[in-house]
Amino acid sequence: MNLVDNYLYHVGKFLPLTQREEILKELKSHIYDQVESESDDEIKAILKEMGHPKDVASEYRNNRSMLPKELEPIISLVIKIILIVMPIILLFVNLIEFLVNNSNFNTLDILRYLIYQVPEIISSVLMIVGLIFIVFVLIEKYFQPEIDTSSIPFDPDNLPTIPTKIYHASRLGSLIELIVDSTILYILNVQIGLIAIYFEGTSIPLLNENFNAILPLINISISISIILNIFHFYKNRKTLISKSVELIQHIFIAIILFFMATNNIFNLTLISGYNLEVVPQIIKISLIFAGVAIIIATVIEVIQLLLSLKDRHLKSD
Amino acid sequence: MPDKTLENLVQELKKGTLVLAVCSQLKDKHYGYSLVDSLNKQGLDIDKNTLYPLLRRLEKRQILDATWSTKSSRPRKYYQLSMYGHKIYKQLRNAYNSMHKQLQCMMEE
Repeated sequence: MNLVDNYLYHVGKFLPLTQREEILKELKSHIYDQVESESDDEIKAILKEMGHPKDVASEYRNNRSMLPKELEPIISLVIKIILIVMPIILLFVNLIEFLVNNSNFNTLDILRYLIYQVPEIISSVLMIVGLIFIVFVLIEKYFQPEIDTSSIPFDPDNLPTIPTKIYHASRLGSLIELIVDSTILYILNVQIGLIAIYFEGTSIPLLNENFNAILPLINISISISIILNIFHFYKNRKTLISKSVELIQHIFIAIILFFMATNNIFNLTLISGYNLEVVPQIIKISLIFAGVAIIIATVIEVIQLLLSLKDRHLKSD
Repeated sequence: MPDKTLENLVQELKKGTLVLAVCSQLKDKHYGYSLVDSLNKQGLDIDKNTLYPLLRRLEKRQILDATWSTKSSRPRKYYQLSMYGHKIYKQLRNAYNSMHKQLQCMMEE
């Protein structure tokens, strides 16, 4: 990995999107203007002198932060802890409350209850994050703590490398998937009646009781997907573990599709009298085809993952 | 911490005069690092992280004209005072000189 490209990638993370490309092009030219021998040591010395990517980027930002940049790592750490711990605690507390107040329930009732708590949990977490921010602003305003960061010198070797394409995850993509997953989970478990054929003022459910046997598998798959997307949204990249879980989940989806194809989940009363016996056959073939496509795509991704691991291993040697 | 206070005050003073120093050197064409070098040779030790964003801001305000040169193996960005920049520089220099005189009078009293 090119040291300069890796450094600029990290500077870019803190730059405004509209100017990012141009500023990075300028910075790259400024860096290489100083280079004479292009040795790693020389480039490292130049980058070390420039300082941490965050500091370099902050000079390009016009809007000054309400808090000094010395406090940023502490605030960032506190907020990270809150974002991880708070939802878990709130979910746990809500779960206990549900179990204490209800004696007759099944797994779906718990799941439904917890899904209903999500907006409340999000607003609570946002409120706490806002309060923490205000507390830090007040600390800075009235106490002005002196934090000496000069004792922690910047070392370009400590920067994480740019995630390769296989570990790439965009925040927008993760957010969209999260919304789609949550919506599907809600419809399948709470509003299954919406999946119906509407005809002359009446609606006929599209799925029959065989679908209920497959529903727990779908719920597990979507729940895994939601957890993965929250993780990818937070990290802004995939890790070896999350990528592996994602691949296993893809295989799981393919298995669910095969189950759906072989279990006659559609309501046949819909097509009786219309001579449309070919329709279930087409759906069955489509589901099997989709399952096979997912398996092929997953196998290709597994090969890419193994090759990237091999590359990483060779580089570390 | 008196030394730290002095250091901060000197930094602020330097920052205020940086635009003048940069404009004074950009009557001729310079690329980023050659400008740093030129300023250093004249005794002005400048932080590159301050200079490069400043060049960008001056370019945005049309005080500097910037052009990319692709003659060498790597593209290089050159900066020079624009027509408007020359005018601004002249006025800024006059303002500085008058301020300098006033300050000197005040300090000699």
